[in-house]
Amino acid sequence: MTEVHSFGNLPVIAHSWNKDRTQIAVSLGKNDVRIYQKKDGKWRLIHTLSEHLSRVLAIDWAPQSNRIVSASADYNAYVWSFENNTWKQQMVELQRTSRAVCCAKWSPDENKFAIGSSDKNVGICYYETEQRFWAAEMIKKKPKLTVTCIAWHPNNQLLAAGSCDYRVRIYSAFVKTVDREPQVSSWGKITNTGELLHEFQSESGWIHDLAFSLSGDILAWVSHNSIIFAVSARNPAEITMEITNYLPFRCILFVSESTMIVAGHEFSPLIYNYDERKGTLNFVEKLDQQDGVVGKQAINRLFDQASMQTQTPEPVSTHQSMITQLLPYQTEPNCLSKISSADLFGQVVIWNLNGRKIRK
Amino acid sequence: MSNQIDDKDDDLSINVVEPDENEWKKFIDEMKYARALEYVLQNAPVRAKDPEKKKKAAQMALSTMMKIKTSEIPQAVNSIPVPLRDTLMKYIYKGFENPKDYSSSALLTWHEKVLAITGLGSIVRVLTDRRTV
Amino acid sequence: MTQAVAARASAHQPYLDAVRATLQASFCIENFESQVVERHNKPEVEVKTSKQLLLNPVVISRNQNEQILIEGSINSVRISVAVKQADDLEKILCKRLMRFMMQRADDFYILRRKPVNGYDISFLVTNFHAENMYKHRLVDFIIYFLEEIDKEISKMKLDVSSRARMCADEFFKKFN
Repeated sequence: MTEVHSFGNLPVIAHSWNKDRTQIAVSLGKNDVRIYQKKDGKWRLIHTLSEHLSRVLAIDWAPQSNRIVSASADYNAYVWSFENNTWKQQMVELQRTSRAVCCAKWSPDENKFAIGSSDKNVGICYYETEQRFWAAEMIKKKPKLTVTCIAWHPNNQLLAAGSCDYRVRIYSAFVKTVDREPQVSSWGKITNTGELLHEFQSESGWIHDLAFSLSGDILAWVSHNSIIFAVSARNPAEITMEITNYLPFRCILFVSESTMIVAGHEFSPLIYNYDERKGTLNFVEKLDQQDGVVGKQAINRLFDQASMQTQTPEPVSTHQSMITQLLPYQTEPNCLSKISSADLFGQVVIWNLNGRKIRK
Repeated sequence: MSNQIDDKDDDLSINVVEPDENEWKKFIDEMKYARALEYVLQNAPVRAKDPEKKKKAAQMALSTMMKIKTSEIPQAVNSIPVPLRDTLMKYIYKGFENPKDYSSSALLTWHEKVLAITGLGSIVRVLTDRRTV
Repeated sequence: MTQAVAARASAHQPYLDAVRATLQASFCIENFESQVVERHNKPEVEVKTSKQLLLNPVVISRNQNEQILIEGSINSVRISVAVKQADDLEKILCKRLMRFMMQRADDFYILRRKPVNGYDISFLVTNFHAENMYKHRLVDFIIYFLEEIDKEISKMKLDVSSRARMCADEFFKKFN
């Protein structure tokens, strides 16, 4: 069953859950981060984190350490921690960044996070314990246009970044002060911070989102030309693409080692399977399986706009606008059992993946 | 596509192909229009910098399309391999730019039939792809 | 999303269907902060700061006089329409009507105050429109506009000529 939660009419630009999923932090296209708590089946606004001066573009809530990182178009990022029943912010020292910060994500171990910005910076931020502030190490070989998305490898030391310059890059995100020893990774030797390990280039299409598989051996991304790409660490020279008949996808999420869910301008999330041996990406099914016309839309059809002779069909889907973000909601060993998606009309939907054709 | 690191922004000049007019004529003379169309699409000079080359190929593609009967369009589209259907869509939009030379109503029929098979994805790729025809 | 339902067959239905599909594909826009000016968020199709943020412009034509130009970008789409103008009277009427509407551009939300060169009227749709309007309704609005504008001009043309006829009648009555 799917659960639909509504947060008004404003766009949900970003959302993030706390550890036990009782609270949600959302950016509704305004300058603040709002935290809602579920009580008696209703969402109640319990905290408003206002420090940003422009639209908040990204939020990430670290489940274990209970800290929130927020990034905004005012070219700042803050780390919020919960003390004495209030959220206290700490500014991140993002030197050399003077444009919007588009994305921010905690690393799997939550000891650092990464940001991507409109002025092409990718930064790895960590807490400088001696001087007590959040420092950022900027990557030198930076993308050529806005960094639209970032994804952490599960080993905590690799970072993938997608950009409007049609390219995906994998960087070493090893920071000596917090990571101590570089690990061995399937994508190459990790040495210094910001080392460019791989660069995948395509002819066109802004990269909208990218994701590592649960083991981290597969990297997949979606671009504006409605193509899904996947590449395996075992053979990084060969990129698999699936040219789809749909509108462009905005987000991608791995739900098991080889199964991924994509969503975006096509209002229903779609399930795809990656077959590494054959080098194919195969469509499995639509996540939103509403057949026919549901109540609300049926009424719309009857009474609404009878004067117009031709019409673009009403979307018959749970989401009625672009899906902005996909997040894991509930995990099981080796796969996700529930995911959440947000859209431009204030909805957050939780999808149950049990019974779906997902290859473990 | 490659994972090599190069700093050149524009790599479009490599690998320029173009359809050979005699080859194309041979298919036309044999009345194998769908095959002729596929041949042009296969060798579309998408990487060429010279607008004349593109124009010539566009003329070949569009004049072939005009020769195919409306009732035979879906069959022709289905016979064209999937990756080339995007190129076909590009030529349809190319034709719209010159309503003087190519009948818009015929192109609109083509647009409808191709769209029915390829979905909106092909239009998205006409809009995004830098390899123009 | 599926394509349009052909509710009625009319002469310009294929044209409208092609426009509708192209609009659906180009309305895939999202929030995008300026890369050049800090704390700015401008429609890239207008400011054109980087070629890589723009989509290929496409034209759909019904015939030589009736065309629609769709220019896309990462966060905005500009749609320009060339309206059919068969004779001088239609030209003047079209110019007057478009001027009338463009002076009231604020009431139309997505109307641009000036048409793009070579076209009669232009619309500008940004991601902020997409955030508070249904996408299919936005598409419908433009299709509706295309459907109605021809009718409107033909009707105005008839009105003008019937008025002219009446004036002439009145004038010639003097000589009877």
